[in-house]
Amino acid sequence: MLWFASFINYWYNLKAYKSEFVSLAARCVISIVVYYFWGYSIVYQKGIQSYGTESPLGFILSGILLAEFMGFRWAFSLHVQTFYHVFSRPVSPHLQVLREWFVFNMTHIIPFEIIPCALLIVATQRLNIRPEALLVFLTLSTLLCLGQHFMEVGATFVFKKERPILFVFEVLEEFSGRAFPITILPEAAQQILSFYPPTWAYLVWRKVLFAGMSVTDLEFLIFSAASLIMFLLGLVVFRAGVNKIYREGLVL
Amino acid sequence: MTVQPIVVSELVKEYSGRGKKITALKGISFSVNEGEIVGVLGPNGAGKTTLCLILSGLLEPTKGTAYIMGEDIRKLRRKACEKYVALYLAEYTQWSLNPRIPALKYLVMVGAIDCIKGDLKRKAETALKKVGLWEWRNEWPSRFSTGMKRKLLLAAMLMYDFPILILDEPTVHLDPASCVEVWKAIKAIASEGRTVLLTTQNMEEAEYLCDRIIFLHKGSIIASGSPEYFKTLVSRYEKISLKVRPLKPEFKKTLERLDGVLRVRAEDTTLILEAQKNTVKPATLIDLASQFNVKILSMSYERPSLSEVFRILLKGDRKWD
Repeated sequence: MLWFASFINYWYNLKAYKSEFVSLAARCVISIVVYYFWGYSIVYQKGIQSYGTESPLGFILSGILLAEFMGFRWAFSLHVQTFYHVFSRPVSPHLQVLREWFVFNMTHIIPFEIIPCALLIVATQRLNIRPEALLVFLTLSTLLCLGQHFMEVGATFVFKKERPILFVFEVLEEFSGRAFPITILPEAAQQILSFYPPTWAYLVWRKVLFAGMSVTDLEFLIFSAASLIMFLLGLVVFRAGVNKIYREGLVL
Repeated sequence: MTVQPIVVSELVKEYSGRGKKITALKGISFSVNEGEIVGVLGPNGAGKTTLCLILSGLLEPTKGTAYIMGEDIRKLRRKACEKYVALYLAEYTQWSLNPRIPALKYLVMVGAIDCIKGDLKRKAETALKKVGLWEWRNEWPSRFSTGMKRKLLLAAMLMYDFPILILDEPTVHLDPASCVEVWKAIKAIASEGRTVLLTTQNMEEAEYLCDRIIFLHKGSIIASGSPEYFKTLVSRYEKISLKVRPLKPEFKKTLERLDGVLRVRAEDTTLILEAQKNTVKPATLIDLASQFNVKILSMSYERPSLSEVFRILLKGDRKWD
């Protein structure tokens, strides 16, 4: 019933605003164009072999695919401004986040962004996928995404500031291997980014798609550990943020 | 034994940070009986929203505590919102209204999302009838007036079946006609026997809706009682309007110094004196006017409104005995 009701909401959105279809399609096209022109030149210069593919298009499309999958958390309603609204509802905020994740993914991301992008990859690239590795990767990257969301939101609750915190995460994500290999960055930046779990996610994702990576490979194991740590750490930071607002409120 | 839905005991809340310390609530105590509508009245910064948040378990009191349905809010925390309290925060709730779905379906969706048990459609229908939106059940809230949107949000709160409703300034920023619509909706909700605690800055609203009014100022309760009690407060004062020519500042200052005069304000050529009843005689005013060569064009003695009395109390910043 919970999910069904949310779909009703989405259905009415579509019924009311057909332009939503158009805007989603436009977003998809624009993101491909932007990634292609931005990433393509860099990719050609530096090479992408360390990501398990030699195709720039495959590199970029797989980046878009994972980025869309990871990026849906921006649509969640849990923010500093909505704290009291979300927390005054009679259901757990965690459940609300999960619901939004499920609904938004099913209604916006999967049909309009992930499926077209996946079809493009299948049509243009030679894939070498181990099904169990793909399954484990998707499960872990979901945990990673939720963990990152809880961490970002928790951090904004702790510092009671949204923009600077989200800006830091956005910059980290931009350079974590989404549109170009991190090998083009200075050594120090690469070192910092190696502590940022999505960096491993982008690396492992491409190897799972194009190089037949197995779950027992060292990089996959590092990604698995990083995802689980991110999820648990996210919950801890989120809890700390919630407790801080409970103690201090949103004043000052 | 019946448990009082809300008991507030010596509640203190201090906000601190960035070198500042603000005491929002200074040891207030009161209780609310089952089925009672209690209005917490006060100006901006009085501590009303802080009180609502504490009673909903979303904010920790610094000292003291409150009991919701007999349970300590410090232990209950956010579970208060899961078990007993439906909270309406005008400032935070309005954004949640989805304008692209018919009102009835919006309520069903709220019920489903918030995991409410029972026949949601029937509950939604009852809630809409209760707040007077039944005729608009198939309309999108985007076509509603602000007052109707507020009523829809109140209807959403009815879906929860909770015994306590906490409404933080439900009519803020509404025009008088919309206010009346919302008041009727709140009355209808309260008639179901739910306990309602509402905060407001509007005296008229408190008078219309509440069984009891608590007047909060700078974190302290400075007056508390039934609307009738507050009406007797009004009867202790009078408002004297003096239309004069010319309006001389020294004449105004002399009036301010008269025994029983609490405040004198000037509006164009009219001086308005707020004074304790029967302390300022017309003869005194006429004598004074002649001393200052001021001509009195008209003089009238009126009963002040409750809001004016509160302004007097606020100015004195003291507890009313």
